[in-house]
Amino acid sequence: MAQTKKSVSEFIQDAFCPMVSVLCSYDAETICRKNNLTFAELIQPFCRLPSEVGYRDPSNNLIVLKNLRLEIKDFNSLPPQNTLAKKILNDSVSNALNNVTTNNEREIHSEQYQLHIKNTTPWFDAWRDCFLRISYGGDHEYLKNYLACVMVVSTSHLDPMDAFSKLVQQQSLQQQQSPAKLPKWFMPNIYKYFILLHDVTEGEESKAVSVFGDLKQQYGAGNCHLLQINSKRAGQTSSDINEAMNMPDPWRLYVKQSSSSNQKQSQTLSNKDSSLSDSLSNLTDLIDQELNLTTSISHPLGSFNTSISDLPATIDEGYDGSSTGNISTVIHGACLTLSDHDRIHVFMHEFVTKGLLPWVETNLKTFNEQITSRRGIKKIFSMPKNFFGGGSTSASKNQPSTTSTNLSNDSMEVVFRRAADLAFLFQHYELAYTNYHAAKRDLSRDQAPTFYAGVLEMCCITNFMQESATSRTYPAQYMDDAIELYTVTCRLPIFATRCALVSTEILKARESYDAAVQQFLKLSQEDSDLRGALFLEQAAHCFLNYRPSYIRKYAFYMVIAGHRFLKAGQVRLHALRCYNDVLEIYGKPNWSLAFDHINFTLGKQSASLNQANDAIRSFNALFAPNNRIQNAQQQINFFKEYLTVFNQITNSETILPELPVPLVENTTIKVLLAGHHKPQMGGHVSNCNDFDFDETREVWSDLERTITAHDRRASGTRTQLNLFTNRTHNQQHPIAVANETIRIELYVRNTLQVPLLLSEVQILWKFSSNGWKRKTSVSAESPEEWKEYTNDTATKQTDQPVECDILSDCIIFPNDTSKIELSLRTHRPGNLTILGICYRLNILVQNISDQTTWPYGIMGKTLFHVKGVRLNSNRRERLNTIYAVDNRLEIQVVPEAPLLHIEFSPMPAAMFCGEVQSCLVHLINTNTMHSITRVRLITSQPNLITVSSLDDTSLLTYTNESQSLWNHTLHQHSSVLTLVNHHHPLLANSTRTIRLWLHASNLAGEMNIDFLFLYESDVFQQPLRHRTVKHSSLFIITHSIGFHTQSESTGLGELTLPVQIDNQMTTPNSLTVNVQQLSCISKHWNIKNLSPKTPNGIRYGENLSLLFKCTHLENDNDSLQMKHIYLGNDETKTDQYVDISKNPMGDLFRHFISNLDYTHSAHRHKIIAPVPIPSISLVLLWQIAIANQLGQYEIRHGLHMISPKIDIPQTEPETNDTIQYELIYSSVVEHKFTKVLNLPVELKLFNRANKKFRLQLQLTRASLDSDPVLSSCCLWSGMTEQFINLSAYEHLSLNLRACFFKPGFYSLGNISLAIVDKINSTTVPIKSNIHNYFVDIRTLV
Amino acid sequence: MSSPSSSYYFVIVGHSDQVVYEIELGGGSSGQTTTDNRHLNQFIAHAALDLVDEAMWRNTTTYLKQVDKFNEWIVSAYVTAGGLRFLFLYEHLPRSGEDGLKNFLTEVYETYVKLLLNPFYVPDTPIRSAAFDKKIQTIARKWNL
Repeated sequence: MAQTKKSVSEFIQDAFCPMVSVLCSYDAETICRKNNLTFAELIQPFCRLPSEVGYRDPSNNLIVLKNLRLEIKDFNSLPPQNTLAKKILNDSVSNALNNVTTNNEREIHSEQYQLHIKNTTPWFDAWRDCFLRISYGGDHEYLKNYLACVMVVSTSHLDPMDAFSKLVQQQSLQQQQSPAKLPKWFMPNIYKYFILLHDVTEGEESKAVSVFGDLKQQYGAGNCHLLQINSKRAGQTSSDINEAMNMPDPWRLYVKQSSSSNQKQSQTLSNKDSSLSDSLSNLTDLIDQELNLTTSISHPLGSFNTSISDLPATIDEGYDGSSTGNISTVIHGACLTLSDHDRIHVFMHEFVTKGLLPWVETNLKTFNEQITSRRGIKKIFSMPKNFFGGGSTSASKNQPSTTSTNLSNDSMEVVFRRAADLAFLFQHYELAYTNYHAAKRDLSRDQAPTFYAGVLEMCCITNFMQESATSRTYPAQYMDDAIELYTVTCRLPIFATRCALVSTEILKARESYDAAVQQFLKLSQEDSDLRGALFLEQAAHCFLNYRPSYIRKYAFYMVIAGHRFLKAGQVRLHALRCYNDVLEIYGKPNWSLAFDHINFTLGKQSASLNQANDAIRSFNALFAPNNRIQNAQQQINFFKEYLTVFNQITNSETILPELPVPLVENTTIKVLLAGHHKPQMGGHVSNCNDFDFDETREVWSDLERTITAHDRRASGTRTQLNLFTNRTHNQQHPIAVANETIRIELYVRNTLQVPLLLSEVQILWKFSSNGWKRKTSVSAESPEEWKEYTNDTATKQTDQPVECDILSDCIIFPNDTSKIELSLRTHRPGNLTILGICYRLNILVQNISDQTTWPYGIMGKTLFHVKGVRLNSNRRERLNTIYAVDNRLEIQVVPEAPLLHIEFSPMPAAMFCGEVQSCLVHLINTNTMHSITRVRLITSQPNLITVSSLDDTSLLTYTNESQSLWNHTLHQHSSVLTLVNHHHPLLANSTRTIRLWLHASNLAGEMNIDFLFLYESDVFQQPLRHRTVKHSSLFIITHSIGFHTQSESTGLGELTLPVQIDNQMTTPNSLTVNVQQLSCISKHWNIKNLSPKTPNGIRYGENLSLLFKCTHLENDNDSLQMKHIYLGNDETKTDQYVDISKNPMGDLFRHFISNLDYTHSAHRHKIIAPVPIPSISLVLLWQIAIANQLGQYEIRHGLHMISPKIDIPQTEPETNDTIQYELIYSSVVEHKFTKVLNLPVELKLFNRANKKFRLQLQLTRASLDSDPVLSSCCLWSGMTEQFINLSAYEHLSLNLRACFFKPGFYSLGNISLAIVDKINSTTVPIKSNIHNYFVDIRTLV
Repeated sequence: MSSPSSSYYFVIVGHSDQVVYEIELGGGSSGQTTTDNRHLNQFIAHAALDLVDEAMWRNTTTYLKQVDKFNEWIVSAYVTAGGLRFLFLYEHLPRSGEDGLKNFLTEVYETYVKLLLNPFYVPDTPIRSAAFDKKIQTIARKWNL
């Protein structure tokens, strides 16, 4: 249970205090009305006695009353009527929410929960106080009956004494009428007190004194009081009013309640709402009776009565003359000075001490005497009474609720009760307890259940109020019994409620929260929702006081309380509060059914209370991504409610609400600074501007750096990125160009079980014009340009600087992701920030019957949240989770600039190895104002690409000369091709077409060529120095021919070149490769065809071997010579040769030779370095006739180049190389072998050096038996060792003779030559360039 | 008891009060009607945790019998050695009675222990395993739930 401000005993004293009625004459009321007060109201603030007063009990003990309070009510005031009472209670609860003090938080920490809970419930206190104030006393008790009646007559009355007697008469008439009506009185002989009211400013003092004298004479001095009030006139001027405002106004609290309730009473009396089921249903009958009573009772004093009941209205009109509704402006006690206040204090004190307490003393004594005298009688009659009592109980059992008590008015129990009540009211708890207990003892439970319950209740209360004075244990069971009796047997929930209110306070003080919970719960199930809700909430708070706290029980009962608050209506704020308080507790994972229920209720109710933000927050929680338990139907229901609520509350919103679904997958957001463009020339559009692969990004930036490396101007600028994803480095802002399309691609996920329908999807952006320039120039801009634009508004705006494309429809299926691609264009330079997407959200309704009633989708937004890569470079970053900045959504827009489109037509897809194909490249400047001054191209395979102008349609250029000079220099060429230079800029809106030659590589398979076009314009400025267009082509390369050669030196300054050409196609086909021409490009060698004319076509599986001989070419001027050999069959074309040196062949050849030497081609920084030309290069031209898809034959041309390694004579040959020798003999000899065969062998020697040598020739005899191949070596005849002198460049022949005795296969290798070094007297052996000399000796038959 | 509206709710609650596993058992025919009250099961089970926490220290057994009651719903509990709480919500005891319920909970515990042996299952995280679902249902059928 929540804490309250008052202590329990104070609370009980306040709940049960002596009641005093005030009966006023009309003139007295008139005087009081000057202060805007009735007399009862006038003295109400003074009802609590500040000082202690005392009286003596029957046993003459002094009882000291501390803090005694009297409850003073007008004679005619009635407890509020049923519906009104309900309304008052409701209001008390709903108003109390507004003045909640802030610092009432209580922290509860448990293992699982850390909670901050408000531990006061002022609304409950307000309701309880209100309930106790407006509830009335029952027939079985006297606590709420009036003890005394105060008669008030003013001195302005013509005959005050007569008026007094009339009032007395009125009171006694009321008391004696039958049946008894409200107000009820404590006993027949109540205490009467007489006040002569004197208006100091108007009345005559002498009259007052004389009348008061009479009064004292008639009613006794102790029972009369002359009260002087209105010491000053009511303020007419404003200063007086101000002064009055400064006066303390103790009435405000009291009068506000009563006057407003009076007004409401008069309003609600007529239209009583019978349909409401109410807690105070038992009250209805009584009050209905009472309403009759007021009309009947008003008969003798009708004029008074009506005027009094209309009192608040007349007061307001009379004094304000203006609106009656505004109660707070009414000033109370305007005519009263502080001394008047003191007089009222004195009056109250005298009334209590001199009048009321002596009366109480007397009556207690009387009761005591009655009790003691009767006790004797009772003892005598006790037995038969018990006997008869049994009979009466059975009768009362049948109709327990109709009669609350069937005890006669003067029975013993009633006397006990009355005595106890009186003692209780005047704080003599011990006496009260004795009497209550006596009453209880004498009664059986069933005899008079209501009475019995009341006694039980009071027993508990008095027991508690005695505090530690007695050692009696608190009879908790009594209270439970009392509540049980009240609710079940007597059906008097009002008393049960009162009982529970007091009881739980007591239990709370005794810290037995468990029992308090039981009592709260018992009463919470009754039909009053408001009381049920309040009690449930209190029970929930009690759970928190358990040790350990029952947090989850608290949460559950708060939810039920919230539910009851909702059912009670009018106090929805309390329901929201209940739900909100415990939302956190259910926020643990996966209690989502419960969590959703709370959120759904919160959302719905917040919406109906127009708390738009709360409603949105609650509903958004319903669709949180981790919520997977709800089924589809439930989600559809949620969604329908969501849409309905949103459509109601977001109409007034200026910015779009954030929507919970679908979920944007922030890692997938891509920003692409290029639009789609359709081919204008009918070709293929450059395709690589919206690709994103990690590998290729590096390739592109490498290519771009290759180009920009040469530009001094562009040095330091970063490479141009068009595409930004979560894998790119996004520290810098993307740079977009005004009026160009920016595309955003993202994936959204539907976490719900129902398909979502997004419509009118577009990018949400923010745009500001400033800042794209350097700060120095910013100051010059007009303030208008500083303005920020955004489309984050609910209303459509015109004249926006950014134009968005709208995606009309997008369906996302349950648990699926969907790609959304959106584009936008800015019309001005500035800073564009992509905030998110906005769309109209709905779900795809499949049920047709729903479709008609289905609410319209709601416009809302989802924001993007991008973050860079997680940083991991230093310790701080490793320990925390720090992400790099990501600026990919903050786009810098630069002024309009040229945009180059590239189109290819037609780009070949499949090629043979070595094939050369051409295609057209269209450069299109789409800008209407600026021209492009330079376009450069770099590719990933620069050696396979060359360009020519559009006119060069033919690959082959023919010439008549079979031999010619390469008439231009072969320079190492830059790998960058300049397509447009500033001499011939690409003008605005113009197109230029260039022919591109592609040479397929010699490796079969897939070949990828990346093309990077980099273009510049004069209007480009930092940060956009240049722009790029990317294209990547994939070619399928199939095998064509193999082209191999191995040069063989003939040793004598000549080369033989056997050339083998294979058809290497892997699949059988009917294609024929026709070799056309072989060209030799060399500085030193000339080529000659040794092969006979053969068919030049090579079909599948065939090969062609050709033999060429190269002779040393006398070449003085170091120029490059070409020699073409026609290999074709066509006799008519024998003198038509293809000029290799002409482009594009020349370029391809240049690429070939520059690629040969890898060490040189690796670094390209030296721009024009002469290419190291290989000694000999062969270029083979071939063609394949192939049928295309249309069945037409087309000729495909190919080019294979080879540069065989040959042994070129060194300028400084080694010594053992300087001498070359050769054996010349007939290799096959037939002989009859009738005699020894003498074979003449000629040894040829050649000195290559410009030097004289002495040679040693040895002809060994040793046979090479170890060699398995040879049968034997020959035998030489003649001189076996001789020395030969060989001068410079001398040819020398020696005749040797070899002897053979039998046929066989002989080697002539057993010959060794050595150079004799005279200085060192050593020999250096000479290696033969042909090692094996064999001779085949056969028998001639 | 003659025709019990046999709808049961079983939930495993983790150490920080999160739902580790929940399943609605029985009442196959009246499945539609209970969907509106599904959240009530959670509310009641959640509220019973306070009493389970108290009862587990007063008992030496793992099976705590009836720990809480809200209106017609009764909550029985089983606390594992590791401090995991199994709650079983019912209106009427199953046909196999108190023993059946106890056996059911014990066997579920055994199944759970087997699940724990799976190195890919992190304790205290939600169990999303079709095999586990099936096993629980089999055990439930075995004990006439």
